[in-house]
Amino acid sequence: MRDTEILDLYWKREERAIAESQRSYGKYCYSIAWHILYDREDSDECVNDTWLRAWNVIPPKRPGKLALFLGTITRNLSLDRWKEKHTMKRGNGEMTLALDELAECVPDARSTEDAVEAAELERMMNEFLRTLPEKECNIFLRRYWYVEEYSEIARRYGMKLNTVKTSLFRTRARLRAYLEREGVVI
Amino acid sequence: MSAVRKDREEMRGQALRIMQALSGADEELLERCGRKTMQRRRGRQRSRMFSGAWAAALCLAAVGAMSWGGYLLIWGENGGTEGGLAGMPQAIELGAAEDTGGTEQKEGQEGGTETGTERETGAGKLPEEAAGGAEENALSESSGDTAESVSGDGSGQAKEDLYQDAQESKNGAATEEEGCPVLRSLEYTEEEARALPVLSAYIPAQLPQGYTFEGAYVNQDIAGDNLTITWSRGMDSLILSVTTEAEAPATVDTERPEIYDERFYSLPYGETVPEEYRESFDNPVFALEDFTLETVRSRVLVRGEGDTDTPRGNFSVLYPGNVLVQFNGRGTPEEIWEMFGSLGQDSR
Repeated sequence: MRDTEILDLYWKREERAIAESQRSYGKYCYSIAWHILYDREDSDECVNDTWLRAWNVIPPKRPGKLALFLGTITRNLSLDRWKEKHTMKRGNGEMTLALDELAECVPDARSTEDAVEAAELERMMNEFLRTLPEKECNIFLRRYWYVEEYSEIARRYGMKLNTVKTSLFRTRARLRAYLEREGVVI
Repeated sequence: MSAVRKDREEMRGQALRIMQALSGADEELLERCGRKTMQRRRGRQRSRMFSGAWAAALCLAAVGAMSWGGYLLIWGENGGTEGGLAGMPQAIELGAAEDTGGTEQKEGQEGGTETGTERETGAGKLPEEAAGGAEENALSESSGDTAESVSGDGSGQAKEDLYQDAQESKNGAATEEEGCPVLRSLEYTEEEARALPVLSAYIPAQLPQGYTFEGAYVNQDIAGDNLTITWSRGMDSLILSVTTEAEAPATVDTERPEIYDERFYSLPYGETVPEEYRESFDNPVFALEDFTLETVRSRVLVRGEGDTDTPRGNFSVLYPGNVLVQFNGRGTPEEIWEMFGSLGQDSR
């Protein structure tokens, strides 16, 4: 079923919208959740919550790219779930590694400035991504949006593992420099 | 909790904020990174290179669809060990030309229920492998991927049969655990790989001494024809990845060796290679007509202390018909050059 048809179902408040979403994007959303949570049950729950969340916001929303819209919901839910789990000392998997890498990008806190607002940080991240060459940007997003392993990224793009690592290393350094230049305190 | 651990937790918390901020990444960027292949800049050489190649292809197509047997005969004349490297470009070009005028055989496969020997190549049997096909399907909005293969006819029947047998046996073995979609790839033996239509022409007949076949697979999550084949020799390995590209990737200008020649720079390259050259430097694509032993020497060398004595390197060669052969491995430049010279010889 096409996106527009699924969206029509949501707008008509037909519950079949959820089944169709699951059918078309279930695996996609599950893979996003899995990469972050590394837990089958939690991933399933996040995916199920995704449909519920989508049901609640469509309408009035009518997303242009349903896959990315649903994927982003899953991602946010999964990050929240991960945080919850992590607080309970149950966190594990690729997510921890990815976070440790991203921690390299955190600029030094210099003063008593307030931490940058989430929306502002989001805008800055987008601006930063726009400065990256396509290859670096793609690799960065695969790693830190989808939380994919290096080997998966290398396979996806037909690259050497070391090239992926080097690219990410450089991009992280650039991100740190960018955030520092912008005077961001996280 | 120790101070170090507390610091780490704090850093992770801050990193998590960055990761959460990434949720707002532009859809356009996310969609782009979901594609299997990256858009490459079209180099100025492209038109120059392809005008000749396409002209050659059209001329050959006008002569008529060449039979597989005739094709092999031509290979026999040009692609033998005596013909060596001189015969290589011509032979490959002829192969590509035949693809243009040859018989197309399409094998329809439903994207969602695609069959094949599913091999989990990652960290074991994890649902994470769902990412490949699921995302590709999700983002492309395509209801079904059609795997297209092109094959010759006539005297290539035996190879065709072998290929079909391999396909059937793999299709029969298809499994998909509930909730655990995996990377969709077909694994082949060397014999089967050499029987594949089209791409087998790009499997070298001659390898650096001591290398033995390790594996070959076709990734079904990639829309175009593709084949990755590996050989190993102790700790050394050779990986050739052959793909048909929808668009011709940019090729490097060999009159500007500074953009790809590793001998110009010292390690670490991250500090010595200018930013603007990094893309071409990381994986240069040479047009077939620019591909020489010297270009191989520029990319295959012993790097730094601690490396083994066997030179290593990577680069790609673009053949007519947008066939990209990516090399990554170890061997002397002369061995690698000879290996490229033998591409296609075994397809007779």
